[in-house]
Amino acid sequence: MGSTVTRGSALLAAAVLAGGLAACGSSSSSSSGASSGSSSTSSGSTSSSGQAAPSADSARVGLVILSGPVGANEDHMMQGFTIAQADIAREGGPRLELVRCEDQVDVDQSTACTRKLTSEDGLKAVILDTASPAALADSAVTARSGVVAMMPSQRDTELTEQGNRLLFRTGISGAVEVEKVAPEIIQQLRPQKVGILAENNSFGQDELKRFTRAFQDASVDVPYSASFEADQTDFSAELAKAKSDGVDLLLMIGEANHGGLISQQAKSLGLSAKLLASSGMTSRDLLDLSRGAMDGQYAWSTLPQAGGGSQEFFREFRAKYGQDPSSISAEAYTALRTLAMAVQRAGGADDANKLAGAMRATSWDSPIGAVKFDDKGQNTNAETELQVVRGNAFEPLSK
Amino acid sequence: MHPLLATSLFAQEIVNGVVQGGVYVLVAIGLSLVFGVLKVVNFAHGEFYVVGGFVAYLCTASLGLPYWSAVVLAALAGLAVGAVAERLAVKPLRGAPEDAVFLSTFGLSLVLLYGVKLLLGGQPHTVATSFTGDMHFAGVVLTDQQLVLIALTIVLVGALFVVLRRSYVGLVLRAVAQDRATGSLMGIEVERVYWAAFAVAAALAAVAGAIVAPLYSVNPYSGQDILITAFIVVIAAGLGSLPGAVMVGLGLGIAEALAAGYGPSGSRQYVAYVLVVAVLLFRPQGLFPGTARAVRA
Repeated sequence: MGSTVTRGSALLAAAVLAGGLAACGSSSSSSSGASSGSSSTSSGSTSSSGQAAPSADSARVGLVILSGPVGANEDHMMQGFTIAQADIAREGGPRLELVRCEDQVDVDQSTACTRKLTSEDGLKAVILDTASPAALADSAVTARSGVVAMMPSQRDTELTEQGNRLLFRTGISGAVEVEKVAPEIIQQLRPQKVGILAENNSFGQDELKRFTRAFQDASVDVPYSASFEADQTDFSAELAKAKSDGVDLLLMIGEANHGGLISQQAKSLGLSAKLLASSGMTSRDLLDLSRGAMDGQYAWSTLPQAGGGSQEFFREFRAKYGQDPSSISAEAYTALRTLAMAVQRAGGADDANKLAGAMRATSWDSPIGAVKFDDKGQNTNAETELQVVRGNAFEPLSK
Repeated sequence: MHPLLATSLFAQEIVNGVVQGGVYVLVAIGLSLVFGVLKVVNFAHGEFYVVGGFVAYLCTASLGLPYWSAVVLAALAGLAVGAVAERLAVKPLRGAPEDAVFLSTFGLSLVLLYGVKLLLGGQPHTVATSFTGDMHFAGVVLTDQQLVLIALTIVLVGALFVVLRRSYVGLVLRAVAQDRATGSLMGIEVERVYWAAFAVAAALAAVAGAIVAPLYSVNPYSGQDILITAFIVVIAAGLGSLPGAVMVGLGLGIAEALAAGYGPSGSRQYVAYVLVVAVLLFRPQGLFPGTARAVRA
């Protein structure tokens, strides 16, 4: 029995440590054992995933998709891409075939996907994983491969500071997001003591630091802040501390599943502070998971409901899916539409430098604001809007 | 901080820790039972937890059944899935090297994980419970669902100990755990005992999933998250030690809550790993190795 116990201990310990190391590396404890097999869909007409020869009016686009415990994001992204493909086809744009690969919320798996898409599949344009830590690693792969990379929803400010001329972000960066949102929070919600719960990854920690600094610069006290892991589901201990510290506004930075559980548990615990969900949380999933706890609470979105380019997108999305789009859907839509415009302008996606040049020359009025890239590949016009939850919908706070 | 607030924070964190510890205990005792009786490291154990959570979700959201019946059906589903899994993934490898069973249960976990994801999608779901109230005492809040979790943990763990120590079934289980060959010579149907132990462990995990789903939601990956912590509890307790798993599970839950309440930001996530590394370095036989006999002897 002794040897059985020792051997069993060794196996268990190895498994636990492997899991722990994986969790440390990717801010997630999910498995990386899933296949990186890819599947594809295309705009215009249905196509097989065979290696069709690219032409001036077509391109194969790699898609590293965020899956795993935050799998709802996967659905939101695909919904945005589906609407984009329909619009591109309707407007006579290039046929974009999406070749997808799932990351399982694992940085190593995400990088393996990017390598596969750029090397084995030979794709010249890739939409990167929406998780910032994975996008940071993946962008190194695309830079080495000379491939144009798009980032729809990644927030980590560092991403567009790497000097990668082939990397573009249509979504807002963390720095700009905080710069825009923090004054609005202070002005409209008038907090005295702010608590911040942020996901423990580069995006969450970057925003936590920036928000803390922004509040403190405005003489707003931040007595409590803490980080949580992507797979954390019990926030009661953190919320008890926030309650005892007397916070009157709790900022939640992470994904919709986190926001739903935090708000639900905050209500159970009797936390009277206002709750404010980050843009990555602002979706129907947040409201469903909160089971009413978000009613009357706040969120900010990168999809302004009154924006010029958003009305048509809202209408199309509601007609197809019967609900309002999330920020992530709008960001995915914007990224693919922008890429399609650049492909059309460049006459294909074969020449990465030409495609990057076309990207820099592209500007249009998207649902998330007027797209226009700076020298670093960062969209300079992404918008934000402070919203309030009424019943089962988000409304502009100023409404 | 006002002393009263400080006291209520401490008490609240203890309550939070006991609730979280209860979840660890329910999952870990099943793992421990399977290892104690079958000597199998079951990597699919977390998926039984997921099955329980999703059965509860389907029963309440799709079939409109009351929550309690959903918990009972989740337990039965766990029992059934566990029984089938043992026959398909464990029994055929009886006598094979441990690594083969290890890989087999790991494969089973992937099949169940992606099967659930294929059928129900990757989104998290919460389960509507009929226990929606809460209690307040000296600034400490305990929701009815948390109370249900604590009560059910006590009842199930207590029942398991009574069965193991006081019943003929327990005697048989302990006999097989101690010496399979002698047990077989004494007329015990060893295969049936293995089958039952595996299925009961799966049912315990499924009940945990059904009780936890209203509190923390359930998604296809929930099992992998809880499994790592359950493994840590089992290793730290001493493999196969049920009383040890109960004590370490509760202790770990409380330590994590206190770390979140009083430690530096993010320190909660390191508590379990510090524990397992410390145990492996200084007490590799586990914190409660002697109590293993309570299950196996």
